[in-house]
Amino acid sequence: MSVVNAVAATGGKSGDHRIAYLRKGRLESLTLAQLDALAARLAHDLRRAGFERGDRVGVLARNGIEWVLLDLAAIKAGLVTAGFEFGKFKEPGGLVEKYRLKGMFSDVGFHHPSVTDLRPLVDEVLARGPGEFGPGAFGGAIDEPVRYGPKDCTTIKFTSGSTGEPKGLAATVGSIDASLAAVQALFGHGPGDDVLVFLPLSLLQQRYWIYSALAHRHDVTVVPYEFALDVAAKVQPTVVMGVPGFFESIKKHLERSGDLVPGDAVRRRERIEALLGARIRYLWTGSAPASRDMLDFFDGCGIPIFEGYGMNETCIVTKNHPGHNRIGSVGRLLPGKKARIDGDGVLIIGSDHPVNVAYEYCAPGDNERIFLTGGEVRTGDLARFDEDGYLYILGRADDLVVLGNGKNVYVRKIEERVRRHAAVEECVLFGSGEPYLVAVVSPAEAPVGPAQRDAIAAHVDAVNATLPRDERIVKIFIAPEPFSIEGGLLTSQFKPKRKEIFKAFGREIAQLYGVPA
Amino acid sequence: MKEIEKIVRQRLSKAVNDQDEGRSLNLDDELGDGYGLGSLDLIMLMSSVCSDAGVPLTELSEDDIARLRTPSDIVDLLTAKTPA
Repeated sequence: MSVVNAVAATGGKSGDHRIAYLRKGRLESLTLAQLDALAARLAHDLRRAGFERGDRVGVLARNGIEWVLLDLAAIKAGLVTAGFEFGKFKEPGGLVEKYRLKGMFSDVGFHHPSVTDLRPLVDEVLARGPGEFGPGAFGGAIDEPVRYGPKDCTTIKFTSGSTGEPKGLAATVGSIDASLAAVQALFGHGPGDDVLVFLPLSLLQQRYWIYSALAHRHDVTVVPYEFALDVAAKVQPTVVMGVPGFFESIKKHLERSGDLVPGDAVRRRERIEALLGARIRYLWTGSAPASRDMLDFFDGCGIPIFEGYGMNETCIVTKNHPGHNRIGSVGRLLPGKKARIDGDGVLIIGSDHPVNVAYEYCAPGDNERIFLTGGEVRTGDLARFDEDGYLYILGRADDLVVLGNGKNVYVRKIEERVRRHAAVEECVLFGSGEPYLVAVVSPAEAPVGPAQRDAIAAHVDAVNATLPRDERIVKIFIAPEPFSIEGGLLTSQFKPKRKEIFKAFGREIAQLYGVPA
Repeated sequence: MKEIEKIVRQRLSKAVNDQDEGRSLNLDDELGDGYGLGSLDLIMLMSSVCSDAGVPLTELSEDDIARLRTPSDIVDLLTAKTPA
């Protein structure tokens, strides 16, 4: 079954299950049948407004019913959505030419002479409310459903790097259908489920849960991330999908609250349930490295948390799941995925239905660096499989740090800027799976006096002032003496050895993240 | 000390593992660069502060939360939302 085609077709959706969402501070809901009918109406209005199959519509908005409706309507009308992460893209008007947008829906005010502002269309459909949209309410106005083939594309997705031009990739229907089918086979979402979605809907994978709800008849709740916990306590979801940083924050919050008793898993479970609700069937995590401590914190009190692995370019590749969960691994390959480790130890992924075989928007050389002949993707992650086929991610082959919130930061250029100060010999940044970047600085001279410390701190502040939030160095540790080849922290070419530096200063780095000495 | 400020100090002290109930925390330091709170930590902090203060989190807009830079901002925001 093609889920995308099922979403495109109007009718047959559940009247017993709902989508819940926040609107003007209130929790509201529509049945999935009502949602489907509203989306069909919006698709009809879009066509009447001159939108044709293949036209592109941009969305720069927080999670809400408008985003969901527009996405579903675009699928029904054969339009291609380009979802821009809210807060990252500041100028909606500037996106129009670059991404050839014919329509734009934005929470940020904009005016552009050659793009249709979609807000009035969406607001008008919502203002009518679901009451008018019962069976047959359109009196023949429902358009012929668009049919998609596996190589058609419904959306452009963008990489989650923190700066620079994001890479854009058109996602094939075949890849979306294959991922949804595999996830459904592993987790069996159904009528008793309510999936909480609070990561940005600009990430295609978050919209998968809407498609899943429509196809597999379960509830779904969509909110901006600021209200995830508030709403979780109200709706009591069965599935919560979060980046590792979200679950780390819950763990840290509970550990520091003084409410937990060491060794008392029952109490821990109660405290987690007080935050996420008492119906949790499982927690889904991925997009960044997850710590063993965090996974054990939840799993060890009977709340399963399943780590997986994937990238924008590959979609979901591996996933732990009920009955096949090896903590510390990111699970086994999903059906339709293939993997190999190349001579450098780097994980290479192949797919029966690739997301695509090239970026549509990227810097020169990016396509050749990532996409191999035959549609394989070079992930840049160092990895190994165990004898049972579980995948373990060992680190990065390059200078990419993936923060706990899933944001990618290329650290080399930041390190080079810190190194320009006379008091700094070397600078290495860490932050994999953590909430922010920290620096370990090798001083130019030892001992390091207060004046040098202040000078280095002021220099880092000045560098930070030019950087976006996720690229800022929040804490610094200055090593007691310069790194050396003899000390094992520099290569014979005088380059810093990241792993050894991390190992040598592991305790100090942990303190930079608030772990007591 | 105002009640809201006391709540913010207590909750912030737990969030950053401070040992003296937050009495010595500088409320004008930055939540991110100063206290090292990530955006998700801030949500945890806001959820607990709002719960203690009896202000539903949904009384705040996403823009309200996005504008928070310091603990003082939280105190000011919640004070404005709390009936006198």
